[in-house]
Amino acid sequence: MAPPSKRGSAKKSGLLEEAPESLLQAVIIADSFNRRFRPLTLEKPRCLLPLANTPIIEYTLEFLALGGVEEVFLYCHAHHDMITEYIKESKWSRESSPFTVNVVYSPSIMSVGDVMRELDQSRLIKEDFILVSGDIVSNVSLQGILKEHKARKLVDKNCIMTSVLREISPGHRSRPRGENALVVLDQNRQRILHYEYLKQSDSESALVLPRELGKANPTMSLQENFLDCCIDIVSFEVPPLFTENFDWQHSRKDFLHGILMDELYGKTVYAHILKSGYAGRIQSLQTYDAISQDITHKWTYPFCPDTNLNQQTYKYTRGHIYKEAKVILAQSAVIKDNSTIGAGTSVGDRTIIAGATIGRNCMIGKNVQLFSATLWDNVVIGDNCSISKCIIANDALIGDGCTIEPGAIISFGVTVEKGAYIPGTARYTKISTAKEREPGKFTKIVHLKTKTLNEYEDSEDDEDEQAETSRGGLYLYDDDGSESDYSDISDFDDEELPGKKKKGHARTSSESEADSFFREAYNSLLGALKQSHSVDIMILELNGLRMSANAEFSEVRRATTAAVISYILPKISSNENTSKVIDATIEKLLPLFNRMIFEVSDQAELLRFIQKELVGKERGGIIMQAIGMKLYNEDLCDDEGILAWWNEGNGPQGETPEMTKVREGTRAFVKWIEEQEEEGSEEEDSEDEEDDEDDE
Amino acid sequence: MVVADEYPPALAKFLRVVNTVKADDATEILIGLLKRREINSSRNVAKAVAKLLLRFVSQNRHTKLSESAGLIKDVRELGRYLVAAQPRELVIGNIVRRVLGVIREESHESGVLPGFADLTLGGRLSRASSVGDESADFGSNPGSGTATPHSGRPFSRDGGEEDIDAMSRRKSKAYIPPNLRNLTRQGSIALPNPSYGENNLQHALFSLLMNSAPLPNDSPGLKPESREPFEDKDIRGDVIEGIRELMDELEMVDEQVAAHSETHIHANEIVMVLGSSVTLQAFLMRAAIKRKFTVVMIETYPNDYLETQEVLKAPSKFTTTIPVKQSGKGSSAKDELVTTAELKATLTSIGVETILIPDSAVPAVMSRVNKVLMGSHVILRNGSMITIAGAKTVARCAQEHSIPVVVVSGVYKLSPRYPFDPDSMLETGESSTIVGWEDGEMVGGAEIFNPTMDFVPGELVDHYITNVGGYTPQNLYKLVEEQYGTVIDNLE
Repeated sequence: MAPPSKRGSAKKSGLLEEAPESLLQAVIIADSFNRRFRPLTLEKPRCLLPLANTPIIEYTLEFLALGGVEEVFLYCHAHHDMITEYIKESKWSRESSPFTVNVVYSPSIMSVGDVMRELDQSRLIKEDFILVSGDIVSNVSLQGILKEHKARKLVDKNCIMTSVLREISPGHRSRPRGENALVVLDQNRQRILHYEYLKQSDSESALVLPRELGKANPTMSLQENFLDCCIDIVSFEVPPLFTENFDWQHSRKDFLHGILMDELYGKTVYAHILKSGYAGRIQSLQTYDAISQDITHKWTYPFCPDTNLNQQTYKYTRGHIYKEAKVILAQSAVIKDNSTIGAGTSVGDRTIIAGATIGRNCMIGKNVQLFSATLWDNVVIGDNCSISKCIIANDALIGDGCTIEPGAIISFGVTVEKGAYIPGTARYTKISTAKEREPGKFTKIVHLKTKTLNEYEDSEDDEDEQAETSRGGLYLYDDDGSESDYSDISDFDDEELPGKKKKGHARTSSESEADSFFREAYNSLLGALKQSHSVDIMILELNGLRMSANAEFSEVRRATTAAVISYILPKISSNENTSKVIDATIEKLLPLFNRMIFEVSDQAELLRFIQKELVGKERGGIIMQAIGMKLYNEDLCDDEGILAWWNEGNGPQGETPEMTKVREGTRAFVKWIEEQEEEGSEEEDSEDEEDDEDDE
Repeated sequence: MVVADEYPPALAKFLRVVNTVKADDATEILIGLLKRREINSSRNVAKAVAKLLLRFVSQNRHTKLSESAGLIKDVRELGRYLVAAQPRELVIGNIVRRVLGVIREESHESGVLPGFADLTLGGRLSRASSVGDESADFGSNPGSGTATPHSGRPFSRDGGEEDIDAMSRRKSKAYIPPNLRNLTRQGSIALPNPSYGENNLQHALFSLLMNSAPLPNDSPGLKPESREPFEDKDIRGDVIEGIRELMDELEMVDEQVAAHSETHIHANEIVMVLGSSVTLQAFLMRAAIKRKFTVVMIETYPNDYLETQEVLKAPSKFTTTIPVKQSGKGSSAKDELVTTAELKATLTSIGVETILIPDSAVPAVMSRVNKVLMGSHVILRNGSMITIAGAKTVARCAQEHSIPVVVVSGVYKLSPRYPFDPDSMLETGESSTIVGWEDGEMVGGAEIFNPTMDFVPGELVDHYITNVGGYTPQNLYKLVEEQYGTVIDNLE
């Protein structure tokens, strides 16, 4: 438990005498960077959605309080104003709060990686800190884990992270569908040696692990049975690493994978494997439903409705039934096990409620059947409805005799007309046609989004004002992850997912790895050149990409060449400044080139790539010669390499006329080299005269 | 003697910071701790609440004798707030009521006649207008203070504070000699008991005399400005002293309870023990110094079994050389968790045979046992109690075999509440102590309940041993009155 109330600086100094160590800091990422809770998140950020009638963020904050955290930075993006307002009004902003909560909003954060880079710039972090997302529900005390982490750091200076993993059986309801990862641990099951994100649960493609892994560790433990809630104890060295690798988005797929794959970093990551206690993360509607059940079933004790975290008045009665004060139940209404009912709710005659979570001030009519449904506040449900396993948000109005199938989502303020049948794939919202909104009539169906979930997702692509984040590689989970995005909350009973949802994978995996590497490397390098990042960053970047894609150096050269040429071409306006631009660029990138050229054949290949890139370009020949000269002067290419390239062009496989044209531009230079070569060989009487002299 | 001197970290930290923050903040901090269950045993909750009240009283703006009603009101509000935050920790209410009792006592001792207060004005005020303008009321009904002696208790519930205040204000005019004060104090305690009826009548008459004299010219005296300063003394120091005494009591309670052990545990007895409370522990250890007896420990799976084993292996100054004597018949059940040798060390080292049995073996072993000892979570006014889950089964089984059930507990756990709805007082704990959460099939497929508390009706308990002596369940109400006086505040 934290020494609470460390707000004012005067007070702080007083308390510091007792606790000389610095504050324990935590960073909450209160944005999911995905759209799995659409359309609900159009109007309210995910972390403020009620989970068992308490906003999700409360659970996370309580969890941090339990962990003894003393300062919290809450990073948010979508609906940041609502989050700020909420925190301001909550008990966490009072003097008595165990920690100070600083809400940080930045329009630029689109992923976990952005948050970390932001964090690096802000220099708020001085010690190791706790990194969680804003949707954690856990009753595990972090204090022991922190102690372990600190002790480990004394032994292993390279330890930069301890991840908290919960062991869990494969078919568990609280396990997010379609998000699996293979964790390779050392023999003591402490150090994480390798992390591999598994795109499909039933992947047919073989999993390839780096060879060095087996060499260095004769005994390993390969485990997939973890629930990874992304609760990490992170070293202060980590945010700078994200800055270096500016395309890292995901804390697992990018960061963890990258850091472990690349020996250059020499960093180690450890796992704390929980065998008891609860740790869940609301990643999707399916986990929302599962964790909601876990809460009512008291798995998350003490964070259950009857703890009244948020100034409520819930009382527990047998059978996991929670009722707040002032619930009006008709005499013939039946409340079955695992139900939660908020204050001011009235339930009509002969209505059956089983396993449902109902918010405050709801009006539920007569003869209604509510099975495992989630109703938020102020929902009105007409008579004779049958509703199961769906989410109905605040102020929604459901007419008499409606049937709502499992999996449906009725967003804020939607009115459903009498006798409607709503399929499980339905997502109703008012938001996209807000202009035509009419006063909700009980008889009128607001039928704004009747499309199926996949169509819904597509239709939303271009309107991103309210979006949690824009699309396109900025997902916390990339497109492939979206198979679970809209998995129905009801489908956790099914062991398999419907086949159609897997199309996404096939597409991505068919794209050859080399191509994807080339694209990524090209983009990142070009970006780095344009923003004139330091060459070290580029090297790290490129290395990370190479490692993760397992690309060959030849690919690296191709990508680098392409990027460099695209970078310099627009700059070259005349013959005069050609060599100047080229010299400057290559001088800058010298270390980068040094790391990808090892043999004569590499030099020749590099030149060939340059040549190919320059095909059809204005002043191609001149540029080619300038580059060649510069490379020669900087000792990146020697005589042999250049001649090898030259002769290859003359060789039988030949080249297209355009390529020849480029090559011809360097004739003078090559001639000069040839002369040099002859002189050199005569003088030194070198024994390694190669066959390229035959072609002179 | 095994006494847990070191606090759990959450409590230790709370006790440290409570003096550095404002009382309101400290309240919120404590509520946070209670909700997160970082402080959860009765003893620790009691200590934390007492400390908080100490802080609260020392910061309260009401310090003067004349303001004691305001202080009582504030403390009661705080009590309600705390109780609402964690309604299942009944000990919170106990401590708050005890402190309220301290404040009342202080204001009485400073010169107010408590018997009159409760009997006459309290009664009249609560009947006439319980929250109304008391001064007006006060002046208009000078003679109606003739409450009947036996009606003192029922209506003294709400009127208590207002009239004390009024009384204390009036006190500034009317001096009462110390011997009379004493007399009335006794009277107030004796009030509810019919056998003291005569006594009460006497007081009632006395009060009539006392009241009627100063009343007519009392109205100006109600204004605080007109009060003589030397009469309106500062009671804060005394109240704080009283709270400190309460805190000392919490510290010493184990010793005091243990002092009774020799009269309850006899030579060569076989004692069945349920629970792992420190009080119980101290009790057994003390008895073991003089007596030779056998202890049958019940495991209390799943919620407390580790604690139970902890009790047995807790390091003690006696554990130095003595070899392990006996391995119990039921002790194999959890051998993998803790070695038998370790388990036996503490009690066996001073000559106590200790046998650990699983909960299921209780009915089988019961016939061989002389006595059942339990700790408690809270004791209720009607003699029933709430304690760790499984206790009711054990008590019921003991009743079947006519084995006496003895409960050891500090008196601070005695609550004046009546269990109208025992279920609402019971805590249901985390399901994962029964089935691991990682087990997907069970989590999805089974309904799992883990009640951590049991309600044991008074009929199943034979004797309560507290730090103020032994009581039968039927006589507990007397103890309630001794502890809380006649004014029982409604904090729920």
